[in-house]
Amino acid sequence: MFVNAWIALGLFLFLMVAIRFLLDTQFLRRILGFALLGHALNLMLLLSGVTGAQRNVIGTPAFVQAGRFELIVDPLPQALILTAIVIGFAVTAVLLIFEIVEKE
Amino acid sequence: MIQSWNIGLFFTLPLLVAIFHFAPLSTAGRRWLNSMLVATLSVFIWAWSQSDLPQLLLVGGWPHFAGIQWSLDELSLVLLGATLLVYWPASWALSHRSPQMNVIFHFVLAACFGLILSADLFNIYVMLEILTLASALLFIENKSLSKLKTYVWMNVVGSVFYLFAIVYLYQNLGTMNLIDIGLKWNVFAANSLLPNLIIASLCFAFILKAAIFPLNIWLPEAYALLPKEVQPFMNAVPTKVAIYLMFRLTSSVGTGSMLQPIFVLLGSTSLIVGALGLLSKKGLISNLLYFNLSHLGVMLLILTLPNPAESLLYYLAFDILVVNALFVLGNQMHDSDRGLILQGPLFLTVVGIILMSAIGLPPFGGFWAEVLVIRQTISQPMLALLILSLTFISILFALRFWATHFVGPDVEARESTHTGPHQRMVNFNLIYSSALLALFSIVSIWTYDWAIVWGEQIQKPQRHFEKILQQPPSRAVPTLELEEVP
Repeated sequence: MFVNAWIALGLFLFLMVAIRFLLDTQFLRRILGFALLGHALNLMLLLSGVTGAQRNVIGTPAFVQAGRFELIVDPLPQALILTAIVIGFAVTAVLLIFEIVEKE
Repeated sequence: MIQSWNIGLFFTLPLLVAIFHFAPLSTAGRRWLNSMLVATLSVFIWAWSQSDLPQLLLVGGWPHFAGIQWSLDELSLVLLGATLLVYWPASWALSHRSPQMNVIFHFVLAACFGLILSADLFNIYVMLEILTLASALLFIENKSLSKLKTYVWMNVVGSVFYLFAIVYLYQNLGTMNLIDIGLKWNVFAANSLLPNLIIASLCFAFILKAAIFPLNIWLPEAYALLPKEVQPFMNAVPTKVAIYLMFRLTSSVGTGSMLQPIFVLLGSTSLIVGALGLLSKKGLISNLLYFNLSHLGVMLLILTLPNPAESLLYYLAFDILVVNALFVLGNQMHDSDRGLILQGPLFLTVVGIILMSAIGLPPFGGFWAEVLVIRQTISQPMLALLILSLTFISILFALRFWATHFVGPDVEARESTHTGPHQRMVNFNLIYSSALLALFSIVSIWTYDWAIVWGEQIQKPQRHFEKILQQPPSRAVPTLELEEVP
């Protein structure tokens, strides 16, 4: 429960700062906002693999502490997060390229 | 004998061709390469059309709920065929441009094929992002990057909504497979508003991609800046693929009582705004962008009909072909052109076929596509009236187009532009596009009855699930036997 509260707080902070930055007029802040929003979404995706009894074991090593199959977090969202990180990185890179090309 | 793994070739072969385009090939070499791709994929499309559909590809051999599943049915087959047909002239025209542009364009094609075939919501997200990034890079040679940035940001907003929605779906249903979601949906969504809101946010992302009013602000601004060679393809295919994805989603989970009126409202507004823009905007390309918007509105209205697959089957294919042909024509002409009636009978025949197909006059393809829509709107006369009003507005536009550009003595200005090799290629492109429309009209007359039968089959998601049961995965989900650590 303690760990869940931290994740929820982290998610809230990420979203709050991301939205604030995305609404900024400065391009670099908007990019930072986009990156933070990506982190928030990844965190949400991570939580989507967690249900019921597993909630209490977030943050503990899966095969050592959790022991039982039903306490092991679904690995699929973690694979999805990897893809989402790569996509977020690519979109950030493209937005930066556009900004640089426009300034030049 | 065609195998289910062949479905993956629709994504991998365009990527392979993209890699070959990095090499310093001549224009003829690039054209040969692209034509080989079209020929190979055409053979597969023909072979699939003779097989027992739907066909499923379980990527990596994982079970459908744990891995990525691609599915091919009659509607996706028609859409693949139409996409391939309009890809060929675009790639032909693009072959004289830089290798980078050719590479990027093949990424767009691969993403479009991936979107048509994928039945997994996260895989669709990945394909949407590839499409967004590749489309954005197609603009890179253009100097108006501010409008392009709006395009990318709009797509980012759509992606955020999309990801939030699929996270919620996965947490509650434990799957991102559209067929699985469809099977579990009725129990999950009963008497609850939130699941409907989640589907609404998925639809929001697709509406943004399809550029339906009022989320169309990026399309006329951005797509007018695309290189002329790919403008017909980009206007014809990606927006229609977004409509197709909305169909896939709503055929799995249903439009529900909440989405139905929203679709009717957005579809009608898009149709009206598109029709008004068609008549009021200056510049042929702007007119065509609004024509595209009005047709997207019609397609959103089709999603609210009792059997949308039956109407979409023809309307999507027809719309891809006609929008492609109109943009090819629009790119060849200048707004200042007058007296084109003197251009000769071939040019007039070609333009005649394109305009009459766009209007939907019998026996052209547009007529059959509209008949398949209107026969389902007998119980909704207002919808039928709206769709028919678009036909009348298209007639008005065609008459004005004829009166402005064709009737009049001044033809000298055009004659000087008809000499270069590039111009000859555009002429071939125009003839090819109108020939496709003529062929579609002939095929429509013969296959009209099939559309009704196929439409009923496509509408049944249960059919896909039966196929899953017939096709066991080669891998099993591992079962862990762990002992409690003291």
